[in-house]
Amino acid sequence: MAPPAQSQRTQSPSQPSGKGEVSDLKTQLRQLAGSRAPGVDDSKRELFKKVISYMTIGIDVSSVFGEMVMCSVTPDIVLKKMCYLYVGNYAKVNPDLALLTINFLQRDCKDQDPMIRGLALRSLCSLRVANLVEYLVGPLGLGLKDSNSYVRTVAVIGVLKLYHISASTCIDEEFPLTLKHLMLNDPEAQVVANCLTALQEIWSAEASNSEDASREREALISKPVIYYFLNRMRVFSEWAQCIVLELVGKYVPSDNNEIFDIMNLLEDRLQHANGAVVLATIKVFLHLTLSMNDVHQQVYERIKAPLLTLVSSGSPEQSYAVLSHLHLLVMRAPFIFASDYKHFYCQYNEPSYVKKLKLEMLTAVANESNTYEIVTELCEYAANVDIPIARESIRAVGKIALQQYDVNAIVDRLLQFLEMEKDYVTAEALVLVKDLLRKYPQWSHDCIAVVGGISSNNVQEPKAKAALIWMLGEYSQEMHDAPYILESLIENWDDEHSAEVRLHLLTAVMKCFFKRAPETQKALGAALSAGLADFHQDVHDRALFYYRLLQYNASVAESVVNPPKQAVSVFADTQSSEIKDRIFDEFNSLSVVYQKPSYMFTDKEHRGPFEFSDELGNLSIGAEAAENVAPALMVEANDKDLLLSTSEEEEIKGPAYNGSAYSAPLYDASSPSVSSLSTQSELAISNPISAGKCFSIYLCH
Amino acid sequence: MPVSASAIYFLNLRGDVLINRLYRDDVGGNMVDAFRMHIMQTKELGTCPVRQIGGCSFFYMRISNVYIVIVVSSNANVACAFKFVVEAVALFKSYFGGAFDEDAIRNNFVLIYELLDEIMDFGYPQNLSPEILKLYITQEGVRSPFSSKPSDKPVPNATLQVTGAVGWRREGLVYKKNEVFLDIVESVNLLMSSKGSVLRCDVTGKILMKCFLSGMPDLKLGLNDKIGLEKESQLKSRPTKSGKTIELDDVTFHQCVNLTRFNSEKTVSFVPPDGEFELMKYRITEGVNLPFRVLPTIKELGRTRMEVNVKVKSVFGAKMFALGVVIKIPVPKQTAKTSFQVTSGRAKYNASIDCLVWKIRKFPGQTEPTMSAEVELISTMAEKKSWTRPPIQMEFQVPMFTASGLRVRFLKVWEKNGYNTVEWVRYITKAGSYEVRC
Repeated sequence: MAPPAQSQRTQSPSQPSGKGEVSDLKTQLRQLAGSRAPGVDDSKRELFKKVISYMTIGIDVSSVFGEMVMCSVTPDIVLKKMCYLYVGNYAKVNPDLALLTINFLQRDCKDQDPMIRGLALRSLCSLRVANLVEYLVGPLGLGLKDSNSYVRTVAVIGVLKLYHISASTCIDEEFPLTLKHLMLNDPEAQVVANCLTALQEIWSAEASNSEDASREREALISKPVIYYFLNRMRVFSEWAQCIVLELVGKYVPSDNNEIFDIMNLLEDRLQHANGAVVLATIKVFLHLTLSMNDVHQQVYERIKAPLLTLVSSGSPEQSYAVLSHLHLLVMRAPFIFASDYKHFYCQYNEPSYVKKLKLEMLTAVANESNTYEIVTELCEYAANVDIPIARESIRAVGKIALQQYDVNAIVDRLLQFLEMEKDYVTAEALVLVKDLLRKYPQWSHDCIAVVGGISSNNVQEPKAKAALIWMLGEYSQEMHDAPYILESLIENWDDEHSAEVRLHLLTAVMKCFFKRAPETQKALGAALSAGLADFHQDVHDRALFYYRLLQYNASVAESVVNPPKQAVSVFADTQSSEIKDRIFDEFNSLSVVYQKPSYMFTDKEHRGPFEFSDELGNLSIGAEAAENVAPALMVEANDKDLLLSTSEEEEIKGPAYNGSAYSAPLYDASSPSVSSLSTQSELAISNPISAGKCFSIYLCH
Repeated sequence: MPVSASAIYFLNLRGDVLINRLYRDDVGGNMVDAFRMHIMQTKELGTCPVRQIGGCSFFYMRISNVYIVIVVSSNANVACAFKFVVEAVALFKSYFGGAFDEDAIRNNFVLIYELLDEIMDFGYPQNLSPEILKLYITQEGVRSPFSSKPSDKPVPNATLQVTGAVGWRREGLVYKKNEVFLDIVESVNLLMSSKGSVLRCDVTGKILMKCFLSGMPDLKLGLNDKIGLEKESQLKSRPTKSGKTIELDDVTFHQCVNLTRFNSEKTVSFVPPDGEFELMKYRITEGVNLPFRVLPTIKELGRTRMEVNVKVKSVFGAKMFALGVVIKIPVPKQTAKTSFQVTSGRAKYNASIDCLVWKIRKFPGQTEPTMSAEVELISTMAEKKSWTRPPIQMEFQVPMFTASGLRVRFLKVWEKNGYNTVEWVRYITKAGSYEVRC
């Protein structure tokens, strides 16, 4: 796949252009090709090494193809390997030259040394040139029957390679049937395991085309086959065990006894040193017991210890992969992990991706008994040097408060955050206090006293500013200087870059007006006129709407802008349970790490605007596109966060990223010409407090 | 089907390719550029080891000054992929005899290509056991230059074992002196609050083994763990001997251990690989003996002065001693001058990590040295932002001590030739993440 033109572009300037060197190599190789002098292999090795190292750094050395092939006639196995590697790399782009190699590869496939037979066969299958397929069939057939197991393992994977080059040849030659026979009869474990991998891939791909294939695929997860594998579990290598366990996970046992038998048989796998085997076993356990509720719970209890061990051992990357799975399970059954909350405490030096997951789990497992400790711990992190983590931990405190445990103590903590006098802490805390007030209006008295003490000059982040403004509007009665703060904010209207803040300012000043008309009147006038002149379409529209509403009837306007509100009981969960179940089905794969089902990141249509392409040129365009989308995403994420502060950023990004069409008008908003109905309605919905209601009435009019 | 890798790249810190190996055609050839452009050259580096770019996912790991990147286009098995990388690096190390870094890769790249060819085929891990691979990938690292004779012809029946069941041991080993070395290495993780209460504490331990045994020996290891002892007394219908027993939260074993037998009889029995390997790993959260107590008092005297007093108590036996004790006490960035008084060891201020570093080379048990320091700070404009104190961190090694209390009770060796073996057992406890908030 490495076209020469592109590979030249990848060179960094410090690397040699390679032209002169390559032609030198060519002549030297040619001199050595026919030579039989002693020590010639040594000089060949040096030359081959040079060729390979050029190839690695991206210099095109395909021009020495002929010479390399000529030199490959040697008993030296290391030389042969280098030559195979070279041929494998360039055959695809030079199919004509590849034909030259067929001869010597085929001869090597019949060598008396099994090592060389295997290597040659592997290289032959790795040429990936469609019109050479005919030369492959013979050696493959012989390889599968070879007396040496090493050659057979290579040949089995070779069949899979052949399938990817030319599916029809592979099927026509009935290789899959041979593999099936080998799988059930070969004495060597690795051969059997490779057969299984190959057959799974081939039949899954074929299943959509042919009845037979889908029947064969079903046959793989039939009772006899599954039992055959289960009984030989111990002879497989750790990697092969992963593959077998994956297969077992798909099997549907006929009754509960069978489920228990399988679980008893596999239980010792949970003690395996290879984390991948443990995770694969856990998957089998979880999926087998889905229908039995109480056993399913027991499984959670059983797998807790191995999972926690895996998390605490190995590199941060490995523990991240495991932690993502633990995260999934904790989210599904938080109560089971409630007593293990201390395992989710963050260590000072852990990378932030690990900390982030741990914070989410701490949030999830909080219950009546452990909330105090968890919140105390989270407060420690709020003072952390790692600012994103500090933010996350404050958010986590807020989420726990919204989960309703021991709100009293938590509100105190949150208010302490406001007094810490760190910009980002204040900002996050403000957003949280706002959400809390929406859920527990009864706390307004305590909160307002503290919020009132915050100078709006110290709050710069749009989200926090919007939250503060919302509180100013909502509680203008209780906060003495609310109208004056709003007024000073409106004076700086032109300096306010975030449309979201300006929208909130409009609504807040309206609310304030209905409560304290004399003090606010001037500010309202200024706000409306500034809003009408605003270049942002939504701000403009909302100002106009308020203006007309006031003109029409002030009391109607009040009932629209400031209706009696009910406390929010539950904040919406962003991820549907259906999606969560799909992720659970795909346990032990990337889906869990990305927290979205595989179709969202493997299918092209779901991947969204950023398309990856082979051309380097397109790549940079793609990058630009992504950058353009980013601000729009941010606006949107902010909006939605106001609505669903319990949501996770990731999940919001998901749909937004996909719907490129929808984000387009948003980031074009600086030019007021375009404003489709769809953007309006989206925005209206995303500001639920007042605008949502306004809009519905607006439509009625 | 979860493939583990479609391609694997080794890059140096600048992003130059050291090794690239494409296993499958489903990813393009310019993946390195994508990685460089979207991960290495952005702030994303280090934020998450799994990243999606376009239709491909990148898993990457940094090992010394090398990035190892795995690219896949399907819904791959992440845990397996990372484990593969870790195992592969261990394999390379055992071939190079030591460090794995950019230079080692450059010097051995042909060998790495050879190995990459064997350990993974078409994206599926094959055989990564160094024991077996060394039988037929015989080209040694740079240590011995190429021999002039083609001596590296494979051992005639080497490939026979490549796929076999007891893949970790080859037959026909003979040693003059049969020896087994056992190392019990524990690392203690502690998180203590500023008030001295233990927030989190656990021990992760491993038993490392070095075997020089002839033939095909059968080994059995007995520990003082609770379940094992109970089971044993049950079987022998004899009451458990008094003495400390410990409860293991979780154990994992090397693939040579017969797991079925462990589950039924609770004994660790195995046919060991030749040479060095990790026999088992365990985790303990209950009844951990902390080797050290740290008692800090930090006073901020006005804006420009601080007083730091730290007392460290060693709570292990008086006859034992700890080695290489390092206590790092964080101080604010604007530290200007420090003066110390220590009753043992040496202390100094390290500006690059903003810490007072107190080192004690040999730290006997049941002692409590102290350090007191005066720290002068530069007064800065940013007074308002109060200093958030990172935790005090500690490093140490305590030989012949296990924080968990684990002991080896016996190690039995059976071999059909019935030779005598010499067994050596060592214990050591190290600091994992030993943090005390102040």
